[in-house]
Amino acid sequence: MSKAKMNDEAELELAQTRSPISHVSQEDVSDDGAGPSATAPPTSGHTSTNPHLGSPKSATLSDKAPKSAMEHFEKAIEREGQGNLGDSLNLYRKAYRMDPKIDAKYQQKYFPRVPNASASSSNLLSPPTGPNTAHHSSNAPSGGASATPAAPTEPVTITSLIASFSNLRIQANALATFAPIKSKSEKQSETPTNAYKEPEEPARGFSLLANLPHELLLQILRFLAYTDIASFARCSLVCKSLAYTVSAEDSIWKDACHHPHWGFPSQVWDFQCNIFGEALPDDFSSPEDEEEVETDLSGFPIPKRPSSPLPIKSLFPNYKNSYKHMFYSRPRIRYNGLYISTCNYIRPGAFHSSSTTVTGATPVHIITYYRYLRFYPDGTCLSLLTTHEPPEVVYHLSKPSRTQNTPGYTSALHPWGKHVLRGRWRLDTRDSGDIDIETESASGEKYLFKMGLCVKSVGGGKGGRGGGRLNKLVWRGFWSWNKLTDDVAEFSLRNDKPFFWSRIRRFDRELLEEM
Amino acid sequence: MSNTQAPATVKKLTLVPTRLLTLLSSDSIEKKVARDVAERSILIKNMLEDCAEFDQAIPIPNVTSSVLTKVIEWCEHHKNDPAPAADEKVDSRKKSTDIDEWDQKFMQVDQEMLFEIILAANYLDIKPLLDVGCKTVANMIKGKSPEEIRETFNIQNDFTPEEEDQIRRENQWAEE
Repeated sequence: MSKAKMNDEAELELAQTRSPISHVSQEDVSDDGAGPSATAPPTSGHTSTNPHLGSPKSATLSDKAPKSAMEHFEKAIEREGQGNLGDSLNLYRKAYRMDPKIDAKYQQKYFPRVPNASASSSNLLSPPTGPNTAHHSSNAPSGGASATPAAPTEPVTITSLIASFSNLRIQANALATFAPIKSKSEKQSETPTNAYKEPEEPARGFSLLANLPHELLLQILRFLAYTDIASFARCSLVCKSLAYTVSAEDSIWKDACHHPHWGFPSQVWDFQCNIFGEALPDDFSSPEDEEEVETDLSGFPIPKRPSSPLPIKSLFPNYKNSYKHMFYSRPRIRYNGLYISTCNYIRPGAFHSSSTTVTGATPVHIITYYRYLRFYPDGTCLSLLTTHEPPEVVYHLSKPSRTQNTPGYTSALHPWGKHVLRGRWRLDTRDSGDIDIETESASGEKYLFKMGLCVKSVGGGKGGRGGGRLNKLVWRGFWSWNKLTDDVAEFSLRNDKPFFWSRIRRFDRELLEEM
Repeated sequence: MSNTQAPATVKKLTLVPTRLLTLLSSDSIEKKVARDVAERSILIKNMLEDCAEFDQAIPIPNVTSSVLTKVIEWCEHHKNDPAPAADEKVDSRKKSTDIDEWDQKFMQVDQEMLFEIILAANYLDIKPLLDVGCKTVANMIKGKSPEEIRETFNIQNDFTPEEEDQIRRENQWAEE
């Protein structure tokens, strides 16, 4: 343990003052991995050596105050992954102040040219959860981590894990022996008049879900899945039996795939309107449409793409004959949130000194801007490039509702409102995840912006299955097209980052109104 | 209990010429109920079609009197609802978990009664009541965290922390 601490201090010279009681937790373990001699302490060392981390909850990433530049940076990434960009930015700033090269060091630490590192990086993006510390640590890329006790449980695949739950039943809590159902109904028969208004009597040992026959439980879950598919999926975390049911009941996932709000019929497979959201003419041969059919903006001819995907049923075999798998992995846009790209770049300040100085006053400018994308199931979208931070933007980035007749956007009330660009989008019919977006241009009417993006999933931990998130849009390209001269200019994406999806609860209601 | 409700039932029935049936609950309590009300139950309806005259009490062996009272109350309120068509299943699902106000109030019972009503509706084959019951439970699950669901339904968490973590990561999108 003390050896590890020494490594820490050697490695993190630039860190701010460290508390005398060293926080030996997963970050420190990971830091060792980047150090020259990777001798990580076993996870079990946490609690015994550190009275401050007595409860297991306090050992997660988010509850600890970061100290070193690396810790700040890691926490910043975690926050960014959670969509908490304000915090994230502050942490990034602090990290850069402590060590201007921190991004390179981070890169070195988590993406060295070694296989197996990707697992840990995706793990970082997973939300911190209470009792998972042991697990996190076991995935950290530290040399000695193979000795951690949690490691042997990893190889169990999720599929076989869930399959092993197949014969289990939902268990009521341990008090079950106290008052079985039978005596309950007997009691009811004795006092029929007040039998069913007794909230003060706790239903001990009785569990509605556990006692229902399976087919009735399925009916309930079917209703649940139809109104809120996420709530249905969350049931798999309640207990083993429900985990199995949720996973095995593919007919419910089939309904989810067909669902009008979040299923594949809600997706947009070809342009439905012009970039202003107006209906296309019946024979659409407007120049911009012709142009996009023939060549990509980069000059490559676009292979003919079908204007609608194959029916869901015929895609079934492509997804391991599982509708659940299809729902989790087939690219689609999630409407109840925003896709946000946070871009930082650093411009050296006037007197940029060498980075070995310990002071926190390295003069660099960190420029932060955000790209926001909001997609609508009617084929329109909104695009915004601004320096305004998410809390100012996310709730207000929306089209006017159809019921109101006010022109312009509700966003128009905000300082960034005039920068919102209207556009249209479509998803590739061949399930590549490619999205084409065309928007108005910020630089005048004669231009049109085209963005090429691709849907990915990140997170979900080891194995990189992404947890069904479909939460990332990576760039394929960004072009400006001059409609008059037919010239195409490609934007540099040097500072641009992928978009990450953030849930915006308010959009649920707006979507219901839309549909 | 049955005595207090019977006169009201009879009064309404004078308008519609129907006969009273007697249902016998599992705990041997008799309930008088108008035939058109009782026929919300497809089980009873089919039974009546098979035997032209029913002078004796119809035994409902799986349902206690308190539950039966509740079920009759529901049937009474919904006796004039149009009969659901066989292919309306999809349509009623589209309406998802919306429950009309009267039914919501009707379903404000403890979980054991809710459980009994669902079982009784299933046994008596009263599809719309079964749907209301299932929707009520679905609404109790909706929007809750796994831990809240466990608390609400008194379910034991039988995962090891590792298993729980693994399943959480697999279903990460659902917690966003």
